[in-house]
Amino acid sequence: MRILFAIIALLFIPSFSHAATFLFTAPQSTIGIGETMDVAISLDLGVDEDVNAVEGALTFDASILELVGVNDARSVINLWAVKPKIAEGGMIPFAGIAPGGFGTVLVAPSDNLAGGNIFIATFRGIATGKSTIGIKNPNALLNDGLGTPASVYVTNFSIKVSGEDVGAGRDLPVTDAIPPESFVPIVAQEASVFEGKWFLVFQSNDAETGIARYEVREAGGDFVPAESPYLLSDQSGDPYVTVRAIDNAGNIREVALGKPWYKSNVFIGILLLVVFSVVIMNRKRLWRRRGH
Amino acid sequence: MPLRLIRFFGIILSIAAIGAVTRFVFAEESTSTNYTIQDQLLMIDGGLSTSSSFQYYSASGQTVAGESTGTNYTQRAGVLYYPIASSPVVSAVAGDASVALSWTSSTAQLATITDYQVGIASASDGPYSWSSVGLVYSNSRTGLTNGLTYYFKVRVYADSLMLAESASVAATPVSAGGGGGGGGGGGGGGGTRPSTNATVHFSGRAYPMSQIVLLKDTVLAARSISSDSADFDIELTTSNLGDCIFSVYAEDSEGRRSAMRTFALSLTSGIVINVSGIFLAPSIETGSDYVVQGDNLPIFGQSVPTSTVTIVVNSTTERAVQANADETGIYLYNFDTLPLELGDHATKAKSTINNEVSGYSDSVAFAVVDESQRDNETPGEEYMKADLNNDKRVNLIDFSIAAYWYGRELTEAANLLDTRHLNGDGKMNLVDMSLIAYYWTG
Repeated sequence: MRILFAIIALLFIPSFSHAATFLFTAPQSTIGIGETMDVAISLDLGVDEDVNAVEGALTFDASILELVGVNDARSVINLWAVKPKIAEGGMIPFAGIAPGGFGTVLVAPSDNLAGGNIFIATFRGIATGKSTIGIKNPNALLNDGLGTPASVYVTNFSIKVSGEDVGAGRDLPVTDAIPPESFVPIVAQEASVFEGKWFLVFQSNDAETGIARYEVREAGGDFVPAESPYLLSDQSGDPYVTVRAIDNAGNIREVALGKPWYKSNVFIGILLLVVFSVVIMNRKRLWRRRGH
Repeated sequence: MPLRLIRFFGIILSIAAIGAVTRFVFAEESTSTNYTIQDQLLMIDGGLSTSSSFQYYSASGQTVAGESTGTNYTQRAGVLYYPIASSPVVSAVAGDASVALSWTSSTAQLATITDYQVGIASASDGPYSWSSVGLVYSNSRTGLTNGLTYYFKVRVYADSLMLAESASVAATPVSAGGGGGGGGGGGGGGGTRPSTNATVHFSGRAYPMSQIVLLKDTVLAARSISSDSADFDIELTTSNLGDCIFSVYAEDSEGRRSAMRTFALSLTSGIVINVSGIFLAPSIETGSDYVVQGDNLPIFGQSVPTSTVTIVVNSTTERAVQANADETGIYLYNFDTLPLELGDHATKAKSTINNEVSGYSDSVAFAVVDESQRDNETPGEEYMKADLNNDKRVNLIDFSIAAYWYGRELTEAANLLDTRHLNGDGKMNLVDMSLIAYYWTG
């Protein structure tokens, strides 16, 4: 029995390696149909290795497992060029960077954070069978200013979906009630992007469940799904725009940029001028009445 | 008989001359935690140098370039090298009669780190009581007295050889129900406050009167100015809790940026985290992007005043030289490029002072060319690396522009960005993203 526990323990303890190794960590290797399980994808770096960019595509058998959630809240990746998200077809592409690198970071308090976490994928069993979870075209670049590729390995992981319940989770209610962090959208312009037109960039973080999506509203219109960079309809360079960051629990952080037209300096100036003119005209009228 | 006598005296004079020349050529000092070797020379007849904590017998050496390796050491031919490691950055969080310590992994040269030791003291200058904790990056100290300030240090070992030591970090344990805590001057203290905010405190060494920048999750969070002696303290109180990535870097008096140090901290309500002993790497620049073989290449920058700066130049054989920073932290070394091969090279530097060792700076590239190219190179227009929109910052805007083009076919304008600011391979891929991450300023 002890040997069995030892083997099970070894199965779930990430192996230590001196290379950059993509690892998968899960509480168990078998789930029942309808049950869900989180699988953490992390990059284990060897001593002295410092990586600032990763990419690849998480692969799994979509006929056995369904991807029901992606959480990058505790990721060492701060900025995603390709954000991992729920998609059909058994493949989740991802590409992102960690400014400053994350190989030699201090992690504190140490028991609260796991180093090298890329994101957590939540799978649901949909048919009996066994699915291998791996990473296609894995890539990790050193934080050396040259983009030198690290030696990358992937330790694949298998999930067996059983016809019986094995006690894994079932769509647990999300307890995150904290909205994403406040952020500042920036209006920018660059010749190579959107043919030199004004665009908006934005980025927020959510420590609990991660950012699910962004929405943008321009000049009092409707909110529309958006990604950064976002091409602005208002090409004045000083738009009135509202950006929403929405986390995976549905909490919303809303920030506004610029002023609505009725708060603009031009409008207020015209309004004051009109009021001043009306007052002057009234006074003149009164003066004429009194004089005559 | 007279001929034999002349030959005998000739040999004696030759040996004396070799000794004299050797003595002058290698008149440098090597320092480590427990010893200083002055006027390095290879002794022909054996000998013994002694100090309070070491005995140094006559040097072993090799007559050709090469390495002798052991399980935990590498010995290189030529002037003697000794193992060295960067000082860990230590964080402390006080709890009820306890303190949780975490530290960065140290980076060693010519040695393999086998152990960390944690020291505890009731005063910042000791005496410390040391205990081995193994090859780990965290340790909790329990059974402490609430209300008393404790000081901690971490030492780095390769077997029994100490390679580096951290700066001290202070923490004052508090009872679970009690408020207050924190405190601890100098390195600061860790503790809990009756607050819904979290406080993080970073301290260390940079350059005299330099700009210190703190990023939280890649966004500028705070700025500070270091002191004349290059010490800095920067604190941030935030209500945005959870797991956060903090980065610290400095800009020297000439606007040169240090390498960035990154810390992943888990912020909870009321927590106070002190991160001490951040020894930012020296800033570094070369006098030119290219140098004619045999000419001197000025390598300069800024670090902690009076620190020893080790400059490494890579080539087939890595070459290390030392320069001393002056009272303003400025250092300069005129590197003789004669031994370097023609082609591309890079240099980087790190500093040492009072047993503390910084990490390496960013690498600066230069090329060694032959005499025929002395005047061929004409300086072109200079573009800041990774600053795609030319606003002298590398931040979310630059990332968004690169992310827009990620994996797409580049237009002429985008190709120009790639050529001027990134790696110029006509593609926008992970390599370009990596460059943006590397040059990030927030």
